Amino acid sequence: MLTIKNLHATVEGEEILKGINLEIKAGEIHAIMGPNGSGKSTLAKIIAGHPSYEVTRGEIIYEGEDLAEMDPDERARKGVFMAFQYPVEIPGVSNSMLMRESYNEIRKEQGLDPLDPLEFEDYITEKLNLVEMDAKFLERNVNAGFSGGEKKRNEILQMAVLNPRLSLLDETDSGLDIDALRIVSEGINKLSGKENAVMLVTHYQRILNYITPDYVHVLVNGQIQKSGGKELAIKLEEHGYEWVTAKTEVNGEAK
Amino acid sequence: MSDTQTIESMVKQPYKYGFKTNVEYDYFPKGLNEDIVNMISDIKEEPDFLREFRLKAYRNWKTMKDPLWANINYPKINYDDIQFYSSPKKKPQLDSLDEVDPEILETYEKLGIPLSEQKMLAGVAVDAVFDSVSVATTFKEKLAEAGVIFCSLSEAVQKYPDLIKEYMGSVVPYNDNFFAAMNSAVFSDGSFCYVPKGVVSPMELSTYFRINNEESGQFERTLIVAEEDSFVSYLEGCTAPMFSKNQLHAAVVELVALDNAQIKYSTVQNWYSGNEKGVGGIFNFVTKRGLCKGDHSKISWTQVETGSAITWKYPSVIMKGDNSTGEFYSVAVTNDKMEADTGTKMIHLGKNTNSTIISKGIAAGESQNSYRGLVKIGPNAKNSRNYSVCDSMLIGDRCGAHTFPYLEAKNNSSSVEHEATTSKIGEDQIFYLQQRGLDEENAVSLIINGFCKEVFKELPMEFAVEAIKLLGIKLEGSVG
Amino acid sequence: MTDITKETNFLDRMIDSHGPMQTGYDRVTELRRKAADDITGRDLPTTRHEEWKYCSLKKLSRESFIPAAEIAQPDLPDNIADYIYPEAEHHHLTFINGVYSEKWSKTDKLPQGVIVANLADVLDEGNPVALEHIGQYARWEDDPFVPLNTSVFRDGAFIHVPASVKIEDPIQLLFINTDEKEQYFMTPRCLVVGERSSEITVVEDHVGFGDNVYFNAPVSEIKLAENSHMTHVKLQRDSRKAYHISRLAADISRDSNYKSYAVQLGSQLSRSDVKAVLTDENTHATLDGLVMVNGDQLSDTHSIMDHTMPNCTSHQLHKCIIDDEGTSVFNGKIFVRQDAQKTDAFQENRNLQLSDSGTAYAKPQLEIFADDVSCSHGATIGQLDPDQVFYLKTRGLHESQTREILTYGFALDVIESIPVASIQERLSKEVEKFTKASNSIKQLV
Repeated sequence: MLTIKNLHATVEGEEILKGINLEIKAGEIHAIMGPNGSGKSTLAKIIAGHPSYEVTRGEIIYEGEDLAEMDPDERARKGVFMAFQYPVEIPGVSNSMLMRESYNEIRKEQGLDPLDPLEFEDYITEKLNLVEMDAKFLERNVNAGFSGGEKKRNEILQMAVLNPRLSLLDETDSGLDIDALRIVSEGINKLSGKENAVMLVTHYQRILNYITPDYVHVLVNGQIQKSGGKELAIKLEEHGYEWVTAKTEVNGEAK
Repeated sequence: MSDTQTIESMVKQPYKYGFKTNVEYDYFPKGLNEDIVNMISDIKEEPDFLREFRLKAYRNWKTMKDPLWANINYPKINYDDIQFYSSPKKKPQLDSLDEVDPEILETYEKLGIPLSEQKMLAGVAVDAVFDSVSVATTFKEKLAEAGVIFCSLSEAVQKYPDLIKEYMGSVVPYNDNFFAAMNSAVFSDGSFCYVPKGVVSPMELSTYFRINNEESGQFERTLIVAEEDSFVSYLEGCTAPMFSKNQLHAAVVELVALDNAQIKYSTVQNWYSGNEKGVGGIFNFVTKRGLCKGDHSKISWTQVETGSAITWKYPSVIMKGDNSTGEFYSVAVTNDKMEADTGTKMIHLGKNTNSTIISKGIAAGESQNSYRGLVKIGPNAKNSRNYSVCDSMLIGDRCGAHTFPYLEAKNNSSSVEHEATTSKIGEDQIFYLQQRGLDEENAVSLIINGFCKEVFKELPMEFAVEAIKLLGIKLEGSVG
Repeated sequence: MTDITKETNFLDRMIDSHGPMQTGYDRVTELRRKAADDITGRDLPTTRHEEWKYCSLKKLSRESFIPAAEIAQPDLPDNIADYIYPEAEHHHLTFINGVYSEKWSKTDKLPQGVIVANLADVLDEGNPVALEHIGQYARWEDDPFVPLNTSVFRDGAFIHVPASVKIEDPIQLLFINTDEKEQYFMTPRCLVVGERSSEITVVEDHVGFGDNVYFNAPVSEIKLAENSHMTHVKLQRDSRKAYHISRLAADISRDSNYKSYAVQLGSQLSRSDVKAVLTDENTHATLDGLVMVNGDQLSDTHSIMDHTMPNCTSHQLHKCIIDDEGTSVFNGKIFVRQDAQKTDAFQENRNLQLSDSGTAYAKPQLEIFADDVSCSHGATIGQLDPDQVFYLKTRGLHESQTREILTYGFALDVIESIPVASIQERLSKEVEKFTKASNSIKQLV
């Protein structure tokens, strides 16, 4: 589904990603872990097409197409979804209105007829239950005045509504209390299946108690330093990221 | 292309209403003097009191100077070069649409304001003012059944001189300000509406203004009187053809609400704003004021200002009656070289009076967008309240947004609250919406409509649709 | 009306009464000449001027004043020492009716290189720093009061802090205005220059000892070089019949932080124009104010916060308490120029009306020419919150007590932000005095 080859990227001239290679197949869950400032959020933003980042080398192939030439909205309509680390507030625009617009854009892309407001209401009601959200949320302005946990749940609700092929979850777990974490994780689990894939960017091992990744990658200093299965995450929790960095340095010197 | 560039290119779009209609005119000499004033009065066969009103206004105007305090820059207007009265040559027969010049009717159809009643959106009565003269008023009979008078001001002068005498100039005196004085001297026509005691107008009333003649100014006057326990909702729309010369529009609107009466006045102003170099466009100098004369009366102004090269406009409410309410909701959009200085005055005189101001300014291109508002609470206006919000949004780094609120309070049982913010459309907001599958244009328009929502929801339904469409058109076009 | 003013042109009279002012230095002579030329034949502004809309100088224009220096033996109070704040014990300059008093001044224990001295002496000596900066910053369009001061000032304060020097304790500039039969006027001038990475706190205190009419027209200029910090506290407690018209301009360079706290308590008419120009990136300015008016006092503050470069922040909290027939006027302008992207500007003006016949005018003003900014202002005019009053009453307090406490609470956040303990104490007492004297509160007992 997604193939990243030797990806280098800069922001304001500073190189953040220094040669990322990654392969994600349908049905898989990948966790990207790493210390703060390692470039893991950058990776998610670049796949989604954030305009502040510049890809200087390498390529991102999604469903056989090079993403580099696509605007963020084209990527979204083709099924790339990003749950934001800091969801943006948009005054005056209601949640339900945004989701309906957004959902209908994606349907149009798929050659389906848009849903009218009533049809959409039926559709979204079932999704609300998934993230244990009250219908009142729909009428509120996008993220305006939401608590941190509500914002994150709202992102997962949008994911449920838009039914993406590839979900990039950027630190969706940070700052959540245990209850919210459980709700968010269960939502993600219910939404993942054989047809779609999840890339979970996280700083903490905690969320992996609820979501079992097929692969764990450790990103340090703009490169994937180590990949493995779930057990890697547990090891990281015990030894900290220094363990990976220390090891690489030794390796580096040995070379 | 950066976001700013994209947004700017979206904001630039051709003016849709810039065609001109070829109609023969009764030409008037240019300039303004007592003879001209008398000529206007003669043509209209006006009663003496009105002629006197005009002459008094003219004499006062002679002693006044252009107001210079507003945050707008325009070349000095040569008042000797303006034709102060213009009317299509065929004298409009106000009783029957069949006799209105077909070209004029066609113009209105092009503007999306079909006058032929069968085509009308049900429930809106239209008075159309072409240059200076009212050409047709629709749904007259239906309104007459309810007792509502809705006609051109000229007709009202002939048919209801007592009402005109009582109310004209009672809210905006003939010497109120430079442009109001000028209007009082030369006003050509306009709309008159009278809602009798206890009547709720059975439909929305609407005036459609169109400037067509290149040399003429437009000086119309609107007077609305709502008697006790009555209600009326009034809509006003404006367009003009594209000329490289500037045209002057100096209108006066007066509203009077008696006990328990309510007047809701909505405007969508889309006069030609000049080209992107600032050539041409309407100079819009308008005095609009409502008087809450009776207790528990309410006057509400809603305006969506998207056109004019220069806008100078402060729809105001004087809350004289106890427990009366004044409201002002405004969206003002400027782009290219447009300059707008607009806002309101809320004058609290009666006890327990309440006012609300919601102003949203959007500046793009090289435009300057200013909010100017006065909230005045008099010593006798005990327990009065005002709440104001003025938000500005900037698109691009060559425009300016300015806020000039004046708050004055003279008693200790009232409260005035004012908040203002300035922000830009954030890159992050656009990216977020794009990530949800909306293209950039759509994302920007969603953000802007969200920004203006509090105002749009005050507009009557048909008008809200129109206003959103208009903003959409403003943002339509050349992405990428 | 205008004829009366013309006949007795106030500004000309002021300048003429002083006679020509000489200094040996061309720079100053030229400055004075220009200033005098600038206002000769001009009238005081009237309420038709936008900037003076709510502040009438009609009464002032009919008064006559002699230069304060002509009072040979001022009626000195015996407790001058009480007016020195303990924190400023070692360094303070005292001016009696605008004239420098060596006897009551002290400049001990200052770090090496710091100059705290009478401006007239410094200029006479030809101090290059003073000559370079004087008259550079206090500039207002179409304003007669800076030129008035410039054309005739003599004594005043000059403070120069060399690079990387921090002066721990505040320096106090005490302006004592004595109770005289004659109506006098003075034009004190202050110039503070903080070099790179310097730090200083200055307290400017204007005290009136009588109930007499005089006219105080001070001008202060502040220049902060890179990375320097200054806290500036100004207390205006002139006589209740005085006129106080002041100008304060601060020019703030890169990475610097200027904080001004201005408190207006005295004078029948006080007008204070404050201007902070943020001339480079990453500068910060605070212009806070507290105004208390009662009787027939009028206090008018006009401020300009001028953001010219990116990434600067400004903060302004201006509070007014109005009692009796008092009037407060606030016009706060925030300019964000085209280059000043990423500006973060905040302004709040709150007015508390205790009496039914007081008047509050507020005109916050945002003028923004850059798009990537976050600016906000708020202004309120109102009364004490009835819910709070009720709450305190349910706790057994009398109506008057609750109002005293809540009024005090209203003023408190400005007072608490002033970083000199004894000034906080002083001001707490002033607020208490104000509320205790309040007829509007007493009526409720």
